[in-house]
Amino acid sequence: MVKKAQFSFEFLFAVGIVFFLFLLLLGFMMSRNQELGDSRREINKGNTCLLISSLITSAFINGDGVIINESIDYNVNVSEISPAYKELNVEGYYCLLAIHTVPNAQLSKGKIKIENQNNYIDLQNV
Amino acid sequence: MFRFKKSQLAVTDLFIALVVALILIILVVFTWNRYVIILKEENVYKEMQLITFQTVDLLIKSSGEPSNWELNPTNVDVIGLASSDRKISASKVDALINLSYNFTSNSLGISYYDFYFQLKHVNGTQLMGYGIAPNNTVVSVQRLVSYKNEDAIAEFALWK
Repeated sequence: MVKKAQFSFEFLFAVGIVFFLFLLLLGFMMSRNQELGDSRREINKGNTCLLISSLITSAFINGDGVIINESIDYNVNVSEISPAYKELNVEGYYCLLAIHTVPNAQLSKGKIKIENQNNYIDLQNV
Repeated sequence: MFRFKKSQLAVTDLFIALVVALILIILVVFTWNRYVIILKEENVYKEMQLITFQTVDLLIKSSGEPSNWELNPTNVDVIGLASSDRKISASKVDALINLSYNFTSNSLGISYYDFYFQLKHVNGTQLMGYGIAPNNTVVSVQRLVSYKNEDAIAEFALWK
């Protein structure tokens, strides 16, 4: 009798520990999966921010009449913080612009057009 | 007595397995965190590379906006040092040197970082330097330009 009870307790204890470890691993995996998704979104937003900033600079450097068409996956807001600061906001990810001859604009995700009009950069959805 | 020993053995086995599993889990967590940090550092480095290329391109290929901004440097919209493609204007360089570091940094859109810009003769002699000399992670780009009718190297370093 004693032997059977001992075995049963040990078995339950072992199963409990294994189950606890399984839950621990599951929690870890779910949390890391969430973190990975967030990181991927942040990196994509950062890439979009840098892409647009880089295209605006390219359009400016290459002179009047340059038109660049691009497709973006996030909404983008161009705003002026102060006369010396122009900022791009890609759904919470911020980067600064080197070109200040850009009007404030709100671009929705989809196709956009960047046009150099006499060294002033026009941004719009198409 | 024999039966009691057997149960002790089973519990010992379980704890050994538990310790091994916990060590593995801890290793996985540490490795994961380390890779997340490495990924973030690489991303920052790539971002700095792109910004450096963009900024040096702007400086050496564009004359800025307005194109004669050197006459009234504090009203500059876009800083550019070229009189034409990769031909650096001495008057624009002089105007840049007289601008405050913070103003230039904000104007170039790189205030999240520090930078150092210099023009060197092809033999390595420094012709001008502007900004804060780097002492940390640096992304540096060198471009061949023409300055005062001589070949020169424009070097732009971005760091944080």
